[in-house]
Amino acid sequence: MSRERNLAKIAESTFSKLDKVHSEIFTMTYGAIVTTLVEDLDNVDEVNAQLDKMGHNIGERLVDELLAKTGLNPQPDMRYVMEIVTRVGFRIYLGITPTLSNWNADSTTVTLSFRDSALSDWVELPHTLDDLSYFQLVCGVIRGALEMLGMKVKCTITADKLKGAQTTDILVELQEVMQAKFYN
Amino acid sequence: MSYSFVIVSKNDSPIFEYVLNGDASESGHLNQFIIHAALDCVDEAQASTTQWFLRCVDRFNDKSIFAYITAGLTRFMLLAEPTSSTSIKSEDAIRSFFLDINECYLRHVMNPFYVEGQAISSDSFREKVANVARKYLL
Amino acid sequence: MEKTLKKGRPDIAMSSFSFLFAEMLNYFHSRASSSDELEGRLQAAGERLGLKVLELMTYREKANRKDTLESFLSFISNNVWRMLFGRPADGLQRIPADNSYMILESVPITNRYIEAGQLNPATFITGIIIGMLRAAGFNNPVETHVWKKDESTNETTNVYLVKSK
Repeated sequence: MSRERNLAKIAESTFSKLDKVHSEIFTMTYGAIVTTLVEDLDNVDEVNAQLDKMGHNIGERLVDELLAKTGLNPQPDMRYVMEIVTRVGFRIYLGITPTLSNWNADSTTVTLSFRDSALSDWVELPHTLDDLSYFQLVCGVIRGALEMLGMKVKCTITADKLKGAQTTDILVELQEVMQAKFYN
Repeated sequence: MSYSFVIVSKNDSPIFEYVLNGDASESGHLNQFIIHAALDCVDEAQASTTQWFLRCVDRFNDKSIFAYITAGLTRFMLLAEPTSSTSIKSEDAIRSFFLDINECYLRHVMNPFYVEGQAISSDSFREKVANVARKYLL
Repeated sequence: MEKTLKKGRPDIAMSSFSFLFAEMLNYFHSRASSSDELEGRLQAAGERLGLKVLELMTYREKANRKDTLESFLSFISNNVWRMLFGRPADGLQRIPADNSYMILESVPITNRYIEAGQLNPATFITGIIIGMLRAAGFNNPVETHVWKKDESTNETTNVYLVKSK
């Protein structure tokens, strides 16, 4: 079986055993978090930084659960890990499977793309918040998760569906392979 | 037929206005006044039913004012005024108009950046209202 | 007009919500100078959802206006609870003595997997109820309590106490 189909099967079988929620409570809670931050903090850069930090915390805990529930135990191989991120991680936790494209020659950078998700249903950015990065949380999650797996990455949103693009694109760039924080 | 459509917030301020086939100037001002004055009739109509569509709540000369209330007590008001060419649309058409507007409005409310009572300035909302108006009221 | 308005997406893992909720709690905790303030912010966050939940649920269920508090609370503890949390609340009871109501829930999703110390994370849900009541014109105060299910056991239940105005 191809690696992709195997991961998809693992995702489905793991998901079937987990407690689930309807997406609405998740969508609305995230909306409440973002709007609270916008009101609390002085500028949009601070909001984006806070979302990234929250995402990072979530990513660390999420990958712990993901590995425990799936039995997966990947080496810090960027290609394989990003397949797990999209086909298993996103599938279970956000209900979507982003695509991976534009791998560079030595497999250290890739673009992850998705359209809609439970994170951004019904969201319309006001013009006063042009620089708000609604999906910054996702960047943090990817960063935090990959760090636990021994890979230090940089995540940049290069296209944002809430700002008119066809898809939301996140450029993931490997910066350093470290000692994995656990397993291995 | 010419129509003035107004969305009135829970605290009685107009947060959205749209005119179909009418002229926005003088009769426009009068129509806004008439719609606002009809709010009392909306309250009365509301007290006697648990339906959201309140039908025709008031009349002024040849103008009829229809109302619909949302779960969160926002009022949709439609003032219908016959012109020389056509007669008034059926109540069913107006009800369908309100139901579709409710859907547009709901999407707007679900936006986390929506602020209750604030004027609706979204272009996409206005475009959707225009489409719904054309569909049921022309 | 739009699929997710009418029907909603497929379910996601509950821990997605739990992780997100825990981060929200952490954030409020880091900025609150007292436990009262923390509780207040958590409740206020829930209140933001009230109008949205009310309008969405009414639309989806094609429900009519609830003109009594009891019928409205029944709508909340049944229909709304099912959409938000996947199942109806454990119960809705009236307290005749002061005409207040209790919505009962053993384990709110806000309290699963979360160690929150003194604060009851279900205050977020209390906020949602308050927001809904206010949006529909009821304006009753609501409090979060944890009560013993009965004298003999140590089993507890969360109580959202809807007080008369």
